[in-house]
Amino acid sequence: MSDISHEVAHGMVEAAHLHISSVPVWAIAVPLIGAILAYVIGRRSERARDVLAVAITILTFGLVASMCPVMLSGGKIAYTLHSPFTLYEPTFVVDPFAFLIALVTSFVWMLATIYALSYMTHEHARNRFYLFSLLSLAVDLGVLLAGDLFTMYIFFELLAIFSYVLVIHVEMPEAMAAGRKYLFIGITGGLCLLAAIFLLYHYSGTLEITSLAQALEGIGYLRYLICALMLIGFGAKAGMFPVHVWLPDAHPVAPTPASALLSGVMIKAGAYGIFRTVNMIFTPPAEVAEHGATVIEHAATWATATNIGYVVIWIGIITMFFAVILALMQENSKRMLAYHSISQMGYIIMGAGCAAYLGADGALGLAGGLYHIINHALFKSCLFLTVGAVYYRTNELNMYKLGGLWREMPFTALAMFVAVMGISGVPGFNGFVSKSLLHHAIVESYHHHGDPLLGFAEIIFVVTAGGTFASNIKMFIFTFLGKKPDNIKKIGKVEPAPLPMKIAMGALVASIILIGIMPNLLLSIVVPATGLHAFSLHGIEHLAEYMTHPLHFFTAEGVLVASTELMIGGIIFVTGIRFGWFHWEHKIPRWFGVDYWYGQLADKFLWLCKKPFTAFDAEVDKAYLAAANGFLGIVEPSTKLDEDINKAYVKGAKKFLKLAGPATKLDKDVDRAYVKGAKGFVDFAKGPATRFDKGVDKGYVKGAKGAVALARRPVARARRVHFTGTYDKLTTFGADPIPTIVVLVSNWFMQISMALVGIVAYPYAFVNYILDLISKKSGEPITSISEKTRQFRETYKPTMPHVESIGFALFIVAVMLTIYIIYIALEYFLHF
Amino acid sequence: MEEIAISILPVIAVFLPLLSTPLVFFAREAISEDFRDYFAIGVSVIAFLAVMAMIPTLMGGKIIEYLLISKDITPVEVAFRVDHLSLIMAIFASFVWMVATIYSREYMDQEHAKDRYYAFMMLTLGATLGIVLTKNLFALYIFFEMMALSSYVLVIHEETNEALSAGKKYLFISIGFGLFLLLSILVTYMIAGTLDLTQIGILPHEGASKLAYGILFFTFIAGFGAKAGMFPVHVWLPDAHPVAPSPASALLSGVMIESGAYGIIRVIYNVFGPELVSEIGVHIILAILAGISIFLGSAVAISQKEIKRMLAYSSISQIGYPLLGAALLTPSGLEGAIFHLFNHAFMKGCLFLCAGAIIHQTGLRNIDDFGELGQKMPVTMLCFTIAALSMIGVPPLNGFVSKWILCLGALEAGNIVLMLFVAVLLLSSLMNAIYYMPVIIKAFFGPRSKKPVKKVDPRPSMLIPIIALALGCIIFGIFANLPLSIIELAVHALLG
Repeated sequence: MSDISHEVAHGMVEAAHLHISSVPVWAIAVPLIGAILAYVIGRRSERARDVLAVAITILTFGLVASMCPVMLSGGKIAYTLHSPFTLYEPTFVVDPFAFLIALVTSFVWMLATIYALSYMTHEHARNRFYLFSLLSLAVDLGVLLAGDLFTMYIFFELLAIFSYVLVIHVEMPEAMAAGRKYLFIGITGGLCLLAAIFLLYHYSGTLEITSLAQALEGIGYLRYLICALMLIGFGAKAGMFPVHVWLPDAHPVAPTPASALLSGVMIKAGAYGIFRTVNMIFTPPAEVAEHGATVIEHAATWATATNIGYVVIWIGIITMFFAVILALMQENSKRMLAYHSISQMGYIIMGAGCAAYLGADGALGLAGGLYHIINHALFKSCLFLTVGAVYYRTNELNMYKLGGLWREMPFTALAMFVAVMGISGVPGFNGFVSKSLLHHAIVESYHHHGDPLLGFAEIIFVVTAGGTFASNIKMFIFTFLGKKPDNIKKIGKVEPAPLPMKIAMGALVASIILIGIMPNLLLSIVVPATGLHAFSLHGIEHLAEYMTHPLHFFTAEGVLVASTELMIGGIIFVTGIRFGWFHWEHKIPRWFGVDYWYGQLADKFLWLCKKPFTAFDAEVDKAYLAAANGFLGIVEPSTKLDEDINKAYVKGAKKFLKLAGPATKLDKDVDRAYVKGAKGFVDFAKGPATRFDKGVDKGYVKGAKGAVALARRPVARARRVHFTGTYDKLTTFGADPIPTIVVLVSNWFMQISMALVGIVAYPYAFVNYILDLISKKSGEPITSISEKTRQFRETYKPTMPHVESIGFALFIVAVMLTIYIIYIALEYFLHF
Repeated sequence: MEEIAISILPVIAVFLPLLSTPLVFFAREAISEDFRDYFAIGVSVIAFLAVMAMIPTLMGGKIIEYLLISKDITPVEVAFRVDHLSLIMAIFASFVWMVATIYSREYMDQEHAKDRYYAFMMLTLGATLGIVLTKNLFALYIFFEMMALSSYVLVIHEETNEALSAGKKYLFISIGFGLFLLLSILVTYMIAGTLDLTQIGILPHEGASKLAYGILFFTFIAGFGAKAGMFPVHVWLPDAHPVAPSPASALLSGVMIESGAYGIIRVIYNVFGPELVSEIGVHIILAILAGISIFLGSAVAISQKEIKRMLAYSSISQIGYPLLGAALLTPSGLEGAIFHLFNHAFMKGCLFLCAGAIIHQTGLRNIDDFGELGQKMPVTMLCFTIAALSMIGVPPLNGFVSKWILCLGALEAGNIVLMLFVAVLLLSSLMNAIYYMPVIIKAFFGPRSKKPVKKVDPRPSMLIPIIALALGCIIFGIFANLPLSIIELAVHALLG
């Protein structure tokens, strides 16, 4: 080990400075604002929009790349958007790990946008495409640059929604079906992730993306549930087995630039999340591993990481192996590439698993995984773009219906060849470097505990690499070599790819070769990225050695493994063609795939919602109706009873009326008798009775006159005898003025005093009586009205007159007026 | 001790709409049709402004009270009291009402009996604001019944057989369960001797046996829950909400059912108090009922084809969230509950107004016919999309934030039964996606509808209310602390 590499490695670990800079925010904001701008401009001028879209992606790439110096020195960039109005303040943290993925994301996006300039001329709704492409770029960068789980989740969910529009762009039925699958798996995965974030936040109390392993130690097996939920959430985006089912459907149906982005970079957002989960959140913090000695103290935490790592290795191995088998059987080039994306993602996930499994010695796994993320982005997007270029000119995606195109499309053929070499891991191309690192990692994992199963895993690794080579070279050979089939001949002369496509493909080809020849170029950032994790200095030094001596990659061992892979690939290709293995896809029963079971699950769930639950709801409704009917059931008999009673009455009444017949006759007879009697009486009265009456009358008058005459004398005598005082005078001499005035004055006095009593005293007494009642009721003493009024004022301090006090006053006035009117009326009728 | 400010604003907010009812009713005959419309809009705007004017006082930490008729004059005091919970309810209720009234002018263009419609809109507005602003449980009951009866007229507005039978169901369930409420209020008065909603828990711990309190709790829940549309007393809702004119549906689903949820929050925190509730353990049962509401509402919504009926079932599901949050008895749970009430008003209000715009412009009600609507009515469908995504819980829209807080509240509860509701909430999000996403997808990317659609986005007087509500979904999602700063104070007051 050289001193230089030691120094480099040490320097990387020590120099994790924190820089405060708003660049990450701008890198997200530029495409976000640019997207809307491009949409608005695009409604007027398509050319201006195309230029703007490319300019925005270049600017975004420039902004991301501008963080390079800090990253090279192993520092971090952090920024917090301070806002009092948001629930949490969004934070952005960029470390070399995130930076590298963001860099390649913005780079590939830029090239895909340039490519789209010519490709999208064949498509409809171009404005929508650019809008959602740029929005997806913004939120994809958001996922990578976010500093906390909340912010990350927001961008992660938005990425699923925005990229959905890219997937279904052509709006054909198969695209819609694929899009639906993509969307619902995306949302379900997002909800799993959300559940994991809740649990993480609840148990660790922080949303920061950092090592939480120690905080989670006390919660037992729940931490594995959290990890599984996070893996499902991120894995659904990454195309991890068994949540990959959407990918082979969704990636091929999108327009080619979008496919390149989906397969090349967007699934990396998921891979990024898996790395963060496995290698950061669930492993001990970086400080722990800086000095090898302290590692033992965190044995339990490391054990968790190792367990998770072991499972993740196998998830990665299964993912890479099954996908490559399916890739071999594809006819549609884009679908084949989509399966390869799953397979290559298996390598990357395996890298994450190895890094966790190896614990402090896992630097190789992480570096290999990260490096492969970069490389895969480059060669997979290049492959998609070349397939798209052929499709653009021939309108054919089935590789068996193509052939002999290399003369007419030499540049595209070369680009595809380079990319195929890259994905196959041929020395001198980029895939070789990362695959070597990953191969080292899996071999080291095998040696770590000597688990024989991991030895088997290594064999699968090599075979998968062979299968990758076989299927990709098959695509290249069928597309460009051999003879032109009839359907292509019909087209006539096939034009070469247009210039923007060539620029995009050329840039990717250049980077594939550049990294292949100079693997240390990217290592200068990959190594600082490992320095942020809990890896021992030893492992990082080992990597740094590669950095200073890139030729170490091309050792006999490395080249031997690569050539073994190629040899296996060659054998698979030849035998596959010979025995027709490449057409077996339809022979596999449907129930063998995970997809089938997802479909079943979704169907059953929908059936449950639509049938039993809806029926249950209807039953509840019916129950109410039954209850109402039951109630009416009680009502009905009582109504009947009521009617019966009514009838009885009516009957009784009728019977009574029947009885009334004779009675009426009797009545009439009686009546007649009466009338007769009355007539007789009247006759009697008019004649003798009247005469008698007059006689009596006269007798009375005579008698009365006699009585009066008799009475006059003694009364006059009595007056004179008894009343001799003032009163006697008053009655005797009624015309005397003074006594009359006295009587009148006393009368007026009575009137006024009564009025005063009515106006003042009576209301006073009345109110006092009421208040007295209240005070007795409430138990608080009330001395007087004024006291009560004072209390009123003090308690309520009204800003304006209370309605109730006005009402009270009006009430009293009304009462007084009423009493006075009654008094006056009484006076009038009684006194005058 | 809380500081009390005296202000007449709550009286204005409640009595202005109530008193304007006859004026609105006769305004057309007396003056003109336009005058009636603008008068009704003006009243709703003033009610909204009166509510907004209370914000500074309450943000200053004071409580507004206004005594209308004191206890010395009448046996039951008539007084208004605006605390932070009342305020947040009144803000969104009056805002959505204002917006719906503005929207009505264009929407009700071709309808009959508009005098009646506007008059009862105002009457119901006054009653709804009365529910949330009153100090006393008895007055709350009076306003509650007033709202139920006056909104009946809005439900049956179309006077079709369907509407009348839905209205009948609504009326009888309202009155029937209203009697439960009256009974429980009387019993509360007997035990506690007061009906003021001023303190936490007016019922004494030793006042009655656990069983009696449990029964009392559920008579309360039946009374308020019937209005809220909670399972199993939700049966009227899917019939009544779709048949009403769309602005009225928006108010029924967006505001009125939430006054039922408001009542339940008051019962749990002000009448019983969280301690007593957790002592008798009824909150778990309430949480389970809310969970069933959430799940069943979503499940049935999936099988609906008619847009408004689907939205109505969605309301049953969505009203479960705040009830669940209230039943958790944790600060985050209550915060999420109140915030979800606030958000649901915006989301469901926007969705119903969008559905109304679609019906008004194209006459389409069946989701299967919605193909190409995204191109024909881009603004309407964009707003629909925003509100629907918010319903699903896509960040950073407001529905996501309240769901986030509710889930944290469920975890906070520490009870394993209550913690499982995180799964229910997330599953319900997925189910929301299952029934909202096809509408959006069909409208924007779907095959052309068989029925030719010619008309375009409605006129601005209908469009602006929709946009306002959709913007609310975005603004209160990103700047969630605007309403949360009030809600946090409310939670603080209710949980001590």
